[in-house]
Amino acid sequence: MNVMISFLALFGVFFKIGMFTFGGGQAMIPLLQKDLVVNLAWVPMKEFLDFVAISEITPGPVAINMATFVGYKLRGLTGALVTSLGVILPSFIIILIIATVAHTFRTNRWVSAFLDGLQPVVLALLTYAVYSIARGGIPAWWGYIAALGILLLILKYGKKLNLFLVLLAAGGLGLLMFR
Amino acid sequence: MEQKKLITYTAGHAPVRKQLLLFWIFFIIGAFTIGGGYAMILMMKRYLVEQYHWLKDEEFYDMLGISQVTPGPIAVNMATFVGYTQGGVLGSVLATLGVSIPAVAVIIIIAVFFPGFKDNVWVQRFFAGVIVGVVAQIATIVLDLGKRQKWTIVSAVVCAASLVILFFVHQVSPIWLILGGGLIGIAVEAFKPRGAGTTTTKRTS
Repeated sequence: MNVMISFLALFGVFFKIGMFTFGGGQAMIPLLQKDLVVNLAWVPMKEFLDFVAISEITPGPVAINMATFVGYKLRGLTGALVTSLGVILPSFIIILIIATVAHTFRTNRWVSAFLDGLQPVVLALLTYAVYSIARGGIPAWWGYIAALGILLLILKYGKKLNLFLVLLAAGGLGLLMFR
Repeated sequence: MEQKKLITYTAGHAPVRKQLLLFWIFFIIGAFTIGGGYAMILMMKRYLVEQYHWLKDEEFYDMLGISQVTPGPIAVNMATFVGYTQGGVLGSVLATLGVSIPAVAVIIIIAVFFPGFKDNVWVQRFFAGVIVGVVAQIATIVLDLGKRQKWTIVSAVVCAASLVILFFVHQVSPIWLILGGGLIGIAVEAFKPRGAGTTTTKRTS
C-alpha cells in the first residue's frame, strides 16, 4: 500500500463501524472485512485474517484489537491511536447519553417492561456465545470435560476462587495437554 | 407503592480515589480477559457486584442488557456505563480508557516485536487452554442469569425461540432478537389485567 491514507479517513471508517454494529466486537468482523478488504482495499484478505486470529487470542475487546492492528499497519502509532479512538467513541458517547437518564429507567413502567422482556434474549445470546466460543476454540473433546470441571469449581467455591488464576491455570493446562 | 430506584446515581460526587479504582478494575479486566467482551462479564460482576457492592445484581444485568442494544463493543459499553454511574463523566472516561489501553498496548507490542506471534505453537496451546476457562466463566453467567430470570410462559418461549433462531438461522443480527424481546415485554405489560400492572417491575433477587 503506497498511497498514504489520511488519519481522518481512518478515523471515519472505524467510527462508522463502531456506530453501526450491534452485538459486540465479533459482529464487527464481517463489516470490517467488507470495508477494509473489499471496498477500500486497504488490507489484503490474508493479512486481515491474521489480524482477526491475533485479535481473538489477545486480551481486550476484539474490536479494539482489530482497530489498533489496522491503524498501526497503515499509519503507525498515531494511526493505531486514531482507529482505536474511532471505534471506541460512538459507544462511549451513546452510553453516556443513556447513562445520564439511567436513573429513571426502572421507574418507567414501559422501559422496565422492555428491560424485563429482553433479558431472556440476553440469556439466549450468552448461551449461544458459550457454544460458538467452545466450538471455535476448544480443540479436543477433553477440553469440554475440563470446561465442565472448571464450571463446577466456580460454582462450588464462588468468590474464593480467583478468576484470573483460573484462566492462567487453564492456559497452563492447554500448554501441557493440547497437541 | 414506592417505586424502586435501581440505578445508583452518584455521578459528579465521586471521590477521586474511587475513580482511580474504576480505572484500575477495568484495566485489570481488560488486561486479563482473552476472547472478547463476553469473557469479561463474570469478572466484572465479581468486582462490581460482589466485591465492591457498587451495583446490585439486577442493575448489573440491566446494564448488560442495555450494552447489547447499543452499538459498539460490549466491554466498552459496560465500562462507560459503570464508570458514569459510579464516577461521573471522569469515571466513565477512566473506566473506558482502562478497558481499552491493554487491548491497544498488546497489539502494538505484538505488531512491533512479535510478527510470528500467531503461528507460535505454544501461544496456540496456551490460548486453547484459556478458552476452556473462558467457556466455563460464560457458562457460569448463563446459569446465574437463568436462575434469576423471572420465568413465565412468555419469557420461556422468548428464550427458546431466540435459541432456535441463533442456532439454526444464521445471519441474524442479535439486535433484532433483543429488540423483539423488549417489544414482547412491552406487549405483555400492555395486555396485563388492570391493577396487576404498574408495581410488578420489581424483580426477584
